[in-house]
Amino acid sequence: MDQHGLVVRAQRGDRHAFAELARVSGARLDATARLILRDPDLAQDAVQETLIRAWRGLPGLRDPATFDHWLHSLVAHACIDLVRKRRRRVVEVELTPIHESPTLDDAARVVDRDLLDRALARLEPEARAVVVLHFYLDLPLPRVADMLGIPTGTAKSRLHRSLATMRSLMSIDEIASTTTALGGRI
Amino acid sequence: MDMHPSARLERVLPELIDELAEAHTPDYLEAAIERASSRPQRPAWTFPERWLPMDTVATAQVPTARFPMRALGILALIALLIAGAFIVYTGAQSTPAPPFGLAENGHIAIVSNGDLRAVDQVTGEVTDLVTGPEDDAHPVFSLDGTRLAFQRRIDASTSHVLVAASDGTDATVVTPEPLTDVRTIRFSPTTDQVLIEAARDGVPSFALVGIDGSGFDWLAIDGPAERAAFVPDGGAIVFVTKAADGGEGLARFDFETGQTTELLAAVPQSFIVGPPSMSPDGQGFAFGFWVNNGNATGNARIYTMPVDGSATHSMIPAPLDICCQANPAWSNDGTRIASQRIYGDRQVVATYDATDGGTAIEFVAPSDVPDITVAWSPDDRYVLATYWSAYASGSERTTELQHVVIDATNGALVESAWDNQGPASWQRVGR
Repeated sequence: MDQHGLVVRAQRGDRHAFAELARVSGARLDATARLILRDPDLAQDAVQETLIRAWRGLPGLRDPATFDHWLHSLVAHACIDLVRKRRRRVVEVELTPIHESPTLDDAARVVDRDLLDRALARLEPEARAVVVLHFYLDLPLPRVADMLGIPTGTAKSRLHRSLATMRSLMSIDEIASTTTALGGRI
Repeated sequence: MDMHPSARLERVLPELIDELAEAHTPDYLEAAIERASSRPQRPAWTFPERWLPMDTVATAQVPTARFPMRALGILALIALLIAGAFIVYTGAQSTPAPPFGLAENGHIAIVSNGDLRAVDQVTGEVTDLVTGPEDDAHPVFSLDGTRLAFQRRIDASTSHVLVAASDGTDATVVTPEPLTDVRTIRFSPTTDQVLIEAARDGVPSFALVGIDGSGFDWLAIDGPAERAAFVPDGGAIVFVTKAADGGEGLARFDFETGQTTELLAAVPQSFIVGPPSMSPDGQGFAFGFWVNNGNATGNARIYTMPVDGSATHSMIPAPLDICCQANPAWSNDGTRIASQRIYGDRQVVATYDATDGGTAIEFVAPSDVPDITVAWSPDDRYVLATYWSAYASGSERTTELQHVVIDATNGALVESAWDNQGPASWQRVGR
């Protein structure tokens, strides 16, 4: 069944339909939460909260076609809420890739990821949320702003400052030389 | 062409961040799904939006009322939910300020490299208002703080004027075609119109237009007209006139009658320094007036006069040892004036009693800056002073600006300059 049908069924209380939707989105939700919160335990809490809010709030989703946007909005809010609730700096946890040890050819790539990891760790969660939603979920800034409940100008400003912070911590030249040319992401 | 570092980082970030994330189905997911779906869902009728006109996409069953009592109960619950949502919404939003009088301080809109930004004077945080490849300038908040007007330059001499929400969103072009030499933008006290000072056939003129771009029209004023201030009731403007010999005076234009009334006849070789500043009660206005002494020297003083021209202008007493006092700004509570004040050996930003010039508080400014304009913070706690590198009247102002925030209660410097290349505007917020 397509997603639209699953959403409609889940809105009517079909737990199996909801479970299917959650399984499809689960990996992305977990990754988004880990990127924003940088704490695997907190991320698990955020995803749990997201799923609870999604299940309970699904009947109120007026347009099933907006399910993905709505779910991403829920996880972003869950992450921010957790940060505010706990009122502490999140533990800086390196997001170690779960694949095998990098080969010599991948060493430079690992360095880049390590630099990015450290740079992301230096951002405040609210700013990191903007970066993650924009670059990881590939959402345009007005939609990111809408998700986080902030003006577009504020989202732009947070992104601008975050990139400036990250640039100062990362070696742009080092990254540019080790990554393949990307096309179409601008 | 070498790519800008920012652009390179943005190009590599998506792929890198994707690798960093290493998305995978987490071990806890099934348990999380189970825990979530074990809870009861909220019934559809508890969501007010489901009772709005349904579109064809929604197919969820909406419970219909079988009994009048149940319908009443549902409607009452919806009303409560809507009221609750409204309270939360209004609590989170800024309340529109009254157009005149004291208000809370909002953001300060500044210009930075063709973009408009908002400065939180308390925290120093700078956020974006209007950004992009366009060359935007001259941000002006409406008197109630809910709108932002600004100038979008088309080329060296022409601009469009846009009106947006106070956060810079939903910008609308209100000028039917680019205007030449846009000098000032003023919101009407009711915020539904903007008054634009621009050149029409080479003559400084005023155009009035709705904030949605409707009803654009030039005011029928004979001769050059510059630097206007709205009378608080919105029925008229007071503005600077210019005679053929270059002397400047003051006049009032009434919107209802379309009539122009002279308030101060233009005096040869004398000029009005800066725009008139209206008292918050609308009874009078202040203006700086430089009078030629006849031997290539002159003096500038601050004067006040009634907006209806019922009395002549009267000078606010000033220290005897000053050269000039100009560019006045009337405080929001109506009790004080802030202005530029020039002594022989120094230049200051001064605030003083609007009636007798007493109880002056001064902040020493750079003596080599020819021109200083001032504005009160909406709560009258501060004065925002702008240092210009060209004289206020006559010559074209350059982009060499510096802004300082001064504590109006003691003349102490509160905030140093931001990176700003144009006039700033302090947003008024409701209390």
